[in-house]
Parts: sequence; structure tokens; C-alpha cells
Amino acid sequence: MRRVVILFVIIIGISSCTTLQQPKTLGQIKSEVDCIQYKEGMSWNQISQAMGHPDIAPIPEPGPDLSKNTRVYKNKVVIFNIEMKEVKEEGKVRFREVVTGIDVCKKK
Amino acid sequence: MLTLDDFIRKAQGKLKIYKDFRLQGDKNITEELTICIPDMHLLERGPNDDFLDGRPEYEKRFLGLLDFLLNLRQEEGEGLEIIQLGDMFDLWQAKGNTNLIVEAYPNIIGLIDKIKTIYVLGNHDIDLVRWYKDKGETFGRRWRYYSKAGGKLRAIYEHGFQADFANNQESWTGAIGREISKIVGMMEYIHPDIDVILGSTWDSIVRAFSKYNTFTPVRDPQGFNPHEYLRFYIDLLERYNRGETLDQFSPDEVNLSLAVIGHTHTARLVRMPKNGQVYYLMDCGSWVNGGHEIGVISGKEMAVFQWE
Repeated sequence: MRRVVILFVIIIGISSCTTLQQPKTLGQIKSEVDCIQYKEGMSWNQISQAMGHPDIAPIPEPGPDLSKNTRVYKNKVVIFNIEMKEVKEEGKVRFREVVTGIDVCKKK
Repeated sequence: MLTLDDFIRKAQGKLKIYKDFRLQGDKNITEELTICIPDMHLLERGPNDDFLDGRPEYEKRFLGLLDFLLNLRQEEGEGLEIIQLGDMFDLWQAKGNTNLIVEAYPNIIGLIDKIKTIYVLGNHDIDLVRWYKDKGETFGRRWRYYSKAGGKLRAIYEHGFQADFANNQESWTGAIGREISKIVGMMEYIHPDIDVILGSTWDSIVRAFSKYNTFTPVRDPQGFNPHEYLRFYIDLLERYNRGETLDQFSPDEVNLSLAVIGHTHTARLVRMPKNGQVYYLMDCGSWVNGGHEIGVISGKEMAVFQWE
């Protein structure tokens, strides 16, 4: 019986600790990182100035155009801004989550 | 304003009166057709998600109700009031607050907003008003809501945890109740229906004590209690009617006769005369573990329905 009571107290204690962890706001998360918001057509220099040199520079994909490249950063924070969009499906109103913005961030 | 019979006709066989829960008051209680959606407890579709309960047809059934209410809103406009009675989200067990619940149920969240629902807070989603307490952000949630008829308040809508000793979020007993619920929630990963089994066991114990009036045999000699919160809500309505509340309503503005709640997950409609007035308590049931009830009030009429 004593063991059951001890186990119960431990479980209560652990779950209480998880309650004490407050959910973070976007503002709190952004205060710990430097971010740049992605916009279509923005210059690469803006990204490289904010994020530094890429960690990996893959060889171009097969084809005649060497100017089409990808650059990879590891261990960065990516923030997606999401909204609800109304759509029609089989004549009924339905909703989809859509991405309305992307922030790429590095830790301060 | 649509009558209850009009409402039933429009639903084309999808609505059935639950048990015999239909009553008529002596005066109008609402001036709009008022539809109350009780506890939903939306989670992230995991084994502890009591709304889905592992059955996709439950979600489909609820979407059917929302489609119907969207059409009704377009036809009736402001002649319709839709109230969600709290515990729409189960934030006590959520992994990622409301964020990942929205990801799991975009259609439900989108549609329930589109039909201009009035949201009341429950004990399981009370964190919505705690996150930005300093800034006063409530995400459109209210502690309680009222209906007026003939220029006076006639019905009050709140979740119902306020009457529950083990779940009143303003007391230490509620804090303990919350921790126990979380533990039971974790146990659902082992057995998905453990909450239902333990809940039924607890209810049968409470019912036995209530039936035989173990603690208050003199005060309650009948040995019968049609709803465990009836005394609390009649007392609340009487206090409002006497103007003894903090809500700044004078007795001239108030003639409450109906309290509408959720919380217990067990639908009931109770009538109780007291001190020359007739009071009603409508418990709208739930949409968890297969529940599919709504409470509806139109003028003098009130009923609890199941949506098929």
C-alpha cells in the first residue's frame, strides 16, 4: 500500500512539473534567434548576410544551367506562418491550413 | 424565429429528441433560435482523443451538424444564436496547445468559426484566458453568456465546472481534479476507454451517496436528485434575480429561469418550481466517446436533441 501511495505522489509531482512549463509565445522564441523572412525573389545576399556561409553546397542538378543551385544550412530554426483558407470540396465548405510566410532563423 | 418543430423539419430526419427531454416554459426565454453545442474535447487524433474515439464516423457526424448549421445561418441570419458551452479543446492533454489541434481538425475549427459561434470557457480550455492574462486576450472566450427576452435576462449559459467541487478552477479542489484528470489521460495510452470506465465507477459511487442522502438526509428527505448541480444553479438564478451578483444587473433587468450547461457529459433537462417561480436546468450532454447531443431553445420551448 505504501508503495502505491509513493507512486501516486511521484506521478502527481511529475505531472505538476509539466504544468509549470508555460507554453512559449512566438515573441519569446524570436527573442532567442535572429530571423530573416523569406519572400519570393529576394536576393541571396540578404540570406547569406543573415545566416552566414551555408554548411553544405551541393553540386548542381543535372542540366545545362550551372546557375541553378541549392544551399543547405544545418541546425537552423524554421518558422512557418499558417492561416486557414476556405475551400470548396464536393459543394461543401471546408478548410485547409496554408503557409503564408517562412522565417529562417539562427540562434543568437 | 424558428420553432422547435420548424427546426426538426429543416433537419430532415437528422434530429431526434433525446429521451423525453422537451419542455415548455411559461414565458419566452429567447428571441432567437438558440443552439448549444456541449463539450467536444478536441485533441490531436491520438489514442486519448475522446472526440474521435478511434471512429472517423464521429467526426463525419459532427461535420454533418456543422454543414447543417452553416446552411441555417445563411437562411436565418441573426435569428440564430449558436453557443459552444466550453471544453471545445482538451488543453489538459494537448501536446501542442491549440496549435496542433487546429492542424488535426481544420474543417471543424474553420466551420465552427464561420457559423459565428459564441464561445464559453470550460475547465479543459480555461488556459485560453491564462496565456495572455496580463494583456486581457481571451480569444473571444467568455466566462458565461446570457439570453434576453422581453428586455430581461432569461437564460444563462456557462460550462458547469463552476458547480463541480472537483473541477472548479478557482479552488484547490479543482487543481487536484485537474492533476487526476491528467493522470487518467496518460493512462488512456494503455487503455483508451479507461476514462469512461473510471468515470462510470465514480458516477455510480456518487449516485449511491446521492440516492440515499448519506450526508444530508434531513435537508433532502426525498432521496432523489434529478441533477447534481440543480441546487447550485437554482441558487445562482435566484441570486441574479435578487440583484445579488457582481455582474452589475439590477433586479429590473433580470428574470432568469433557465441555466444551460455541459461539463457532466450526461444530457438532462430538469424542471424545478421554487418560491413561486419555475426554474429549468438544461445539461446538453457531450460530443465525446460517441455522445452527439445539442441543446436547443426557441421562445418558450427547450429540448435536448441527438444529431444522427
